[in-house]
Amino acid sequence: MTSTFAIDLRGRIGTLDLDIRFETSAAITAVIGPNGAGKSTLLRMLAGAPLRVEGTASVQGGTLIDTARNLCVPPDARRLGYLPQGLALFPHLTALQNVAFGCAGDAELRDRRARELLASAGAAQLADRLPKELSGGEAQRVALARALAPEPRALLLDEPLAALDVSHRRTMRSFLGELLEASGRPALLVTHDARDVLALAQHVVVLERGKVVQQGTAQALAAAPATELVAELLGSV
Amino acid sequence: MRAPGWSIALGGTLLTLLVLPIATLVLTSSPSDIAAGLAHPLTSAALALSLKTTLLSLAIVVLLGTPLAFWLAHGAGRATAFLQAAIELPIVLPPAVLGVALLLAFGRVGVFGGLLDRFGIALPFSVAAVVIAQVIVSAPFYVQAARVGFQAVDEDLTLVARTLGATPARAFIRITLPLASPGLLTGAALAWARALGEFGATLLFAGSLAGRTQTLPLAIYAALESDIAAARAIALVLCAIAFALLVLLRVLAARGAR
Repeated sequence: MTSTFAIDLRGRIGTLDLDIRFETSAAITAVIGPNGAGKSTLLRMLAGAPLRVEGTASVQGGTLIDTARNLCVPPDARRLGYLPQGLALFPHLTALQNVAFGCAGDAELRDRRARELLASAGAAQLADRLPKELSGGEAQRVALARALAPEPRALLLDEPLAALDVSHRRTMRSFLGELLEASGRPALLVTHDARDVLALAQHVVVLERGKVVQQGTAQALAAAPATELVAELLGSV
Repeated sequence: MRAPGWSIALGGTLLTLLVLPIATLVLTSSPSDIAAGLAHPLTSAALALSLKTTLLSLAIVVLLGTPLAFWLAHGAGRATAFLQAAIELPIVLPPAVLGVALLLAFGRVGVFGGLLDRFGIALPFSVAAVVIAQVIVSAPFYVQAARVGFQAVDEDLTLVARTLGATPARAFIRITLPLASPGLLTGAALAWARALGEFGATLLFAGSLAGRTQTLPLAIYAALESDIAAARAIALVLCAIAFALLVLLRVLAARGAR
């Protein structure tokens, strides 16, 4: 079985010494850990941000980074749907234009495809709105539709539910689970909420200070937490 | 919220100081003064030269300043801080100092003047000198505003655009440029206004040759010696252009903010 994500990356980003190694074949892998552990940095590296790292990274068997072979695939050729913290919707484009930006083909085809994606994310009625006219949950749906636009081979989701209040969080969590399952694409999901982990992920990677301190299923981690933090995060399981 | 009395008094004093001289200039002039100013022999040549040179210097500033501003916006560390100070220098230096420095560098007996002379190029007292002086005094305003404009664009937006399949050029044109455009437009308008009013460096480096290097501000100065009414009339023309420019700037900025 091919790994969905195989990561072996080292580097110094700002004040953080990163040494992240893990391999997973789970459909959805949760990355958890305290603030500043390097979770977002990991996602940015995979998305293709210009950061100085060494090592290898591959997604679905496709190599993205292999510094020994001097290989670093540019972001536009990685085919990853990246959803950063704060969503990063293009503020000057409508929801439809945001999604169409990532679709391939001529203008008409892009428009049609973008409408389909918005509809599948339950956001068809939001097509002509600007990001500032969207609520947190609506923006979330549009951003997810956009992340799926380039037909990505995997999704990188950075705290996709963080900006939502409790009731919307629950709705969006089950929606996200359905959407990911329907899309059939593996995902790396950064979160600090144990409920996200339990509801969505089959594999959990725990990062602390730039290093993987434990990985496995949520149940295995809860049963034998390697650090206090793991116990605290998944203790309620 | 109502402003307290003392703040109205202090702010009002400054406002009066700013507005009073120009208001006097405008209010003590009649339409016939403006007509006389426009008809004055110095005016049309100076106006044409001012428009030609400022548009040219603006084009140069935008073309060369945009990449520099983008580069500065994403640079970090001491080198960038030093560069920014160096770029801001022409804002704080008296233009006359820049004029002297230009003469020392590119004058006929200047350090690089001899070299240029060998290629048959003589910069001082030419239209090119007018443009160079304008570029130097106005570029800092554009580069600073454009840098701030670029810095205001969230780096995640560009990264997301790239992951959505955009080449660096497409991400720049479709995402970065439109989002930085309020800063770029503000900078361009400020730079143009500064170039239009440029006097000291131009006088020293390009001279005030009527019909050749005499821009509007220099024409006002020249007219003052012979005909104060003409000087006033040309000044009114310059005021009108500058005011129109600032109003345009506000409109553009308001549109960008929407």
